[in-house]
Amino acid sequence: MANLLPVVVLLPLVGAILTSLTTHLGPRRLTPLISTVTTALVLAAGCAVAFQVGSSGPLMLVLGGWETPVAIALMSDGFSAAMLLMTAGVGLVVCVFASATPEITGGYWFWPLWLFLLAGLNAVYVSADLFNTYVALELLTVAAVALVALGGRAALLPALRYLLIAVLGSLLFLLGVALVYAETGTLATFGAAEETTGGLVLLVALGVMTLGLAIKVALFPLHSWLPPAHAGAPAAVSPLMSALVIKAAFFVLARMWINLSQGSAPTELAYVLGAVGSVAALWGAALALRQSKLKRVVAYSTVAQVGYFFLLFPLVIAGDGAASALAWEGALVFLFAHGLAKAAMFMAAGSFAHAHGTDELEQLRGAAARMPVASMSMAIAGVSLAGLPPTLAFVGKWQLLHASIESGQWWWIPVLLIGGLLTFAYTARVLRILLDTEDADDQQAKVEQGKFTTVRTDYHPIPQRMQYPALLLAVLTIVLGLRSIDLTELLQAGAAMGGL
Amino acid sequence: MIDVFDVLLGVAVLLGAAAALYGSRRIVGVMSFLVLGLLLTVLWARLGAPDIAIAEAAIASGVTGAFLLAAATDHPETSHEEGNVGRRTLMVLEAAIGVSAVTLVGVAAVSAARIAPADPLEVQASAAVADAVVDHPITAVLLDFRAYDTLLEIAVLAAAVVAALALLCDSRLTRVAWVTETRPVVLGFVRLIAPVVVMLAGWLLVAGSTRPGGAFQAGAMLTGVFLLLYLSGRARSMVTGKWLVPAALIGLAVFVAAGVGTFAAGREWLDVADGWGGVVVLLIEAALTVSIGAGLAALFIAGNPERA
Repeated sequence: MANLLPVVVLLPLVGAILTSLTTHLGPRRLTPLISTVTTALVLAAGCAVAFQVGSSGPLMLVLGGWETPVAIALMSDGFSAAMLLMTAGVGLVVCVFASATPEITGGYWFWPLWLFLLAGLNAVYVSADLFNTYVALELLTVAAVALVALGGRAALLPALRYLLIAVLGSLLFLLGVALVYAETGTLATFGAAEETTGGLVLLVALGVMTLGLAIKVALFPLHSWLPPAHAGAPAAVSPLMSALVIKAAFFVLARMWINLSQGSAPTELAYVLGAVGSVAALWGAALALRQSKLKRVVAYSTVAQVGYFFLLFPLVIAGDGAASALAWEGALVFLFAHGLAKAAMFMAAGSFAHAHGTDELEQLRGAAARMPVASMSMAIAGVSLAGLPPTLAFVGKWQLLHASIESGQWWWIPVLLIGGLLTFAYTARVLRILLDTEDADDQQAKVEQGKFTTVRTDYHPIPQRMQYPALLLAVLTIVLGLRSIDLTELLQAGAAMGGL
Repeated sequence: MIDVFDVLLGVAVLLGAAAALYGSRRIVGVMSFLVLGLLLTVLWARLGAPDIAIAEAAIASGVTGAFLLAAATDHPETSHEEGNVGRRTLMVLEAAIGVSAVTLVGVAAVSAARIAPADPLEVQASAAVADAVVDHPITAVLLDFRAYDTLLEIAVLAAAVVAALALLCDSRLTRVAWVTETRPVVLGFVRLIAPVVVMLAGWLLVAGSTRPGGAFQAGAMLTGVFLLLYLSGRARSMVTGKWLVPAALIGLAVFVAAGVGTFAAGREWLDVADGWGGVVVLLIEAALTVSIGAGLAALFIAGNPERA
């Protein structure tokens, strides 16, 4: 069964080659079909991997008929299996959304680039080798930057900025890898973890890696590249960027901290990350409240949510046994929930923008009457992000709160609570504008009095296929909230290798 | 065994880097970069690393130099006002942060080297080369021990070419500005030199299994040929033609096929050892050379879209 691990990387690459050929040489209409089918197959492979990990523990496969550390190993534990599932699952739903019309993808090249992105993401999740992780991050970055640039001339500058910043992040990560290699003489992630002795080298290596990856995750104050890039990308790209791409960098960050620094983790640095994360959670939410465009509200919301992820470090590293395990589970459930909810939100925002030709909130007044499904998705996704019961994010947040009390780090509790309120505030603000039917009623009355002949001319109906995928993911956050025990069990399957 | 020449070379490299970074005009910076590349090539050769020397000359100095030259000559320099107080403070701050960061990393690197384990990866890999399908250690690492990394790197290049095409076609920069060259001397030179460079690339490719060389260096040479043809007004099909995508993707396709094929034949994924191993590696490398050559050239040419 471990033999399935290369499939999740090689299959999307085969799909990328095929779709590049059909896009360049034709027939172009096959491109979305091949891409969607490939994503579905990758999801099936991901399910098989997750099932195997859940039932019999982590999978490990050494490539090329050699042994580590000379060869590269692939590995999947509960954390990685959960990320594989979320990536292919969200990806498949976005594929259905994107196949509605080429206008929201920025052209047919979206499809091969998405498959390159999928290969890069999965390669990050199954890698058990430090240098290989760097190469996988590079593949991911090139595909992600290109996808953002599909947004047309206005997106070129944000895409270029994103490229330069992401490459800087990669180089810092590579510097850390070089230091770890110099000290331990191995590139295998778990081999290196056993060899490190802590001290200055580990501190500097972990420091530069953390800095590089924090840039890629857009942790405050390194976040300013994210809102223009995510908001400027085509409607079908933004959900991929926010739900999936930043998660890969965070995954690597979490893995480095948990594995490389078993027992010898610099706790002060962990507290700093938690503090910076708290500021990010509040500052991002405050900025989200002030935006006048819908996609920028959602993008700043990502900056805020990224802050919560970083509470993982003080709670896991500086907490003791039980609290640490609770925090680990809570943060990962929250990560998963954010992926689903944020993809739903960006898809809903994209369909509003496509239907109205703009995402200016003022222009969207009363849109709920015209697009009830998309509005419903936006509402449910917002509630999920805010962490209200019975959603999946509530489960994650509850465990984080519990871990804060257990480990005596009570000061994270107000951050979690106020952050949740602010999330609810910007969701409510958007919903109030969408539901504001005063304008529509007014116009309706005028139409009846014969003063207007049409209600709105700038709105054009959009296919159902653009509205229901968002609703599906939003509802999934609630369904999984009720079934969260399965997810936490899968995450615990990695405990043997995660060091927790 | 450090003699005067090495010391002078080291100092010259530092001076070249400083000139490239702080040259007052862009063209000066680019020229210093080219000189720096040349010095680095000599430096690598002196350190007994001819592989890196060839790669440095072909990729870093050759292809990157061409990119930079194109950038420096195509776009007029914009004048920027001279430093006010805020700017100067910022520069001092940046310098201070830079120096302390470099110091910290340097100290960490030195102490990491001191506690390096007795049996590092290098030793184990050297021991394993005897069993590898090719004799040359670097080719063995690239295409045997760590073939999966190389596969992903080729995927990065393929993704970059697809990205450039996506921006050219669907983001509406549909055409590329073509050079027209009529001078007979230039045309004659290209006609004479192009086949020679192609032959040299072929030799580098085959040589890779036993001595310095291989797909990356050969691919960079091939890029040089494509650029020569482009700059002399030929090879118009490079970006607009239908052969570009197949050429840029064949390396990845053959590599993936070989990786899957080994598994289908009942061995580990990407296990090319035994029997046909050498032939398979050469086949992969040949396909990679085509992809690297076409891919890098396409990226260069796609960087010159016709401006509306």
